[in-house]
Amino acid sequence: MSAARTTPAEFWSRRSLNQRLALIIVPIAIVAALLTAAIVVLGGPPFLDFLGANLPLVRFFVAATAILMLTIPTAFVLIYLELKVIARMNLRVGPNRVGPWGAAMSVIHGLKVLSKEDFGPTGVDITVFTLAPVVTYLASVMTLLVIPFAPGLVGQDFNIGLLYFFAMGGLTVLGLLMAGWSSFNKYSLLGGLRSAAQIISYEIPLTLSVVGVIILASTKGSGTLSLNHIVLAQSGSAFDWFVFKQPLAALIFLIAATAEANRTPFDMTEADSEIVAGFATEYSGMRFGFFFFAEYVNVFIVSALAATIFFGGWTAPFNWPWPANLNAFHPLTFGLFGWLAIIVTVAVFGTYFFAFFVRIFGGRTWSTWSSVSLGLILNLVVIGGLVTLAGFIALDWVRGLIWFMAKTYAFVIIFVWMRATLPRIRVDQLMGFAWKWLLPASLLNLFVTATAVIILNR
Amino acid sequence: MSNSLDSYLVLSGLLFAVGVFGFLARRNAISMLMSIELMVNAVNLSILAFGAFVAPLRTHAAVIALLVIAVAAAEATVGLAIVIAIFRNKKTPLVDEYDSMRE
Amino acid sequence: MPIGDSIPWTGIRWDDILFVALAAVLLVSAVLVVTLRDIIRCGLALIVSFASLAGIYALLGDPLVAAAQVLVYIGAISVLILFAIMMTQTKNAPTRLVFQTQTLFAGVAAAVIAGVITVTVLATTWPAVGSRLVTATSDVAHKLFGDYVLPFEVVSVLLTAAVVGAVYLARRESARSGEDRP
Repeated sequence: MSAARTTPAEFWSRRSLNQRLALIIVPIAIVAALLTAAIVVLGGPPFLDFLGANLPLVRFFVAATAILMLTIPTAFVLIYLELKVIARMNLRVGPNRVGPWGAAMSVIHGLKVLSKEDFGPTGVDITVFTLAPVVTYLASVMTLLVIPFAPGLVGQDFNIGLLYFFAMGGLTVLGLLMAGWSSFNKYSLLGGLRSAAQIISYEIPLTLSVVGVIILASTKGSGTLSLNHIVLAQSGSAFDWFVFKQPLAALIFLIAATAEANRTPFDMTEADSEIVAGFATEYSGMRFGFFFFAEYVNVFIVSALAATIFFGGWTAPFNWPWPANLNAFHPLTFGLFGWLAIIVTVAVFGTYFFAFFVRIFGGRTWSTWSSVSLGLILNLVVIGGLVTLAGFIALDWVRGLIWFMAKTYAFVIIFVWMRATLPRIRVDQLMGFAWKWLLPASLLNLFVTATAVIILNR
Repeated sequence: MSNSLDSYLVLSGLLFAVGVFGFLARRNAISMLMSIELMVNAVNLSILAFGAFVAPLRTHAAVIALLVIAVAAAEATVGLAIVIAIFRNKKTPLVDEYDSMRE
Repeated sequence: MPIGDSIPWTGIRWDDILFVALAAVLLVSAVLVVTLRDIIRCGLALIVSFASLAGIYALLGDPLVAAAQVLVYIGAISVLILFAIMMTQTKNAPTRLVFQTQTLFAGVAAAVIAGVITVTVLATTWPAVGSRLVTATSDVAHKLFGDYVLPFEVVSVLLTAAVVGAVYLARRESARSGEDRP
């Protein structure tokens, strides 16, 4: 048997595993690369034309995707924040094992939830059971579409933005009802019914409380429900914020929003000590994960809306003194190699600059390598801070985003604080409070606001 | 297709017919209420379609549709309250078992 | 809500695709509402049909009515219906007969109605039909609180009466006779 007469089978059997893999993968990769190149060359220009001809549609899909992606890190940050802040308020340490100060805790939580078995108990209506978390999560996420994060940074600036927000926010209850019904469990059904009663009741004062704000915003020229215009109507200093003109409405809004987001002290739908987590009793794994995510996304959304409507959204709390213009640092000023040179110089010199100080003040305990790496980290932190500061001064959307996030997270902390402090209230007290106190108060607020606007505009 | 009044009106008519069928054929009182809601929505759709294509009716149609929605909310509230009240006495939601006056 | 004009190299308009898709979803879910055996699924199909109707309203250029449809029909009425279903149904309900004995005649009646409406619509030339326009929200507000203020007030009285009546009807017997509730 000579080498020239080897059959394909023999040739194949003599190859090692790596060679076999290479023999399979390389032709596939070559064909795939050629195909990709052909598709890009032939299909690229028409596709770009297609995108260009439908720019609003493309913008909508990009915004929707960005918002969907945004919710995941937001939920992780909020879960960690809640664990840590409640722990500090209870004089505990909180998560401190995974990552620096336990910061990777919620990511590990997410991975744990992902890796669990996809489990449905006997007797559940599996279609509805699976759809319920999706409905809850998407209803939360879709409301983010109209929140103005910064000037120009809004998913879709609807003319009826606020109405859209409440319409979508009201859909959360559907998911909870579906979950409660399909779980085939008395506690879950009770949780679902409670959520329906509670959210419908609190939606009314929630919606009525912002009507006063809409009236005030429409006196400043634009008679619209667009959240962007409501923010613009509050621009100026902190005293132009609607919270100072509508304090009662802001209070009603915060209380009703707590109930809408199912947070303590209004978390009757979960109430783990009475009806063992209500609608979520039978859920586990990623299905439960969606409910969990939706809850924290809801907290973020409610905080964002409170900041937008009553606390000026992305406007600064004082008249911003520097209409700065950093045209000198425009990317085209230095060219590619100029920027590369600047970055390398700054990185090298900055690193050695900080490493020098670490070596001087750290004494003998720091080796050369550790002082250099610490110097690199310090350098990166300082440069990151400087770049953010430059953006803060130069770009209005960076500035707006930072103010908006600061206000939103202040409200998130308030919600966490409430959870750590207040006990859950009873069901009948909950409904009585909504119908006997919040609804009359919001009607009174609306009446007084309308009267005042008519008298002052006369 | 989306730019002709006829397609919207035909759609509304089909929706109305589906609602009529459900109202006549279902035994469950809540199913009948849902069919009524379908019919109300069909009427609303035709009102809005007329408003969208006939310029003088433009805003009137939206206002009338909003009023219809409010009235439908009232109708659903009372209807469901009646169903629940009867259910409490008869222990059944099926309308052909409400026969105590058939003697 | 204008969303571009048409797909570039086919000439099919986006609005047409959207309309056909929404109409198909609407009709299929409406048929499911009246034919499904499990009544909770009927309720969920009803929600889907309301949602597609809201889409059609937005397509017609009435975003305000579309938002009101979602807010009132899906957020309130459907939830109320699901609430009532959960209070009145048991798990063995779907196994029982869902249709009346007159189903056949109901089907004939519905088909006749559909046919008559379709033929009437297609045979009529509507006067003064223009192209689609978008309603401005502030115009609706001016009409609602101007020309239509009396119907508006009547509707609000009707809603109040409905709420009071519903509370009275759905109250427990023991509470109506003045005893303490458990």
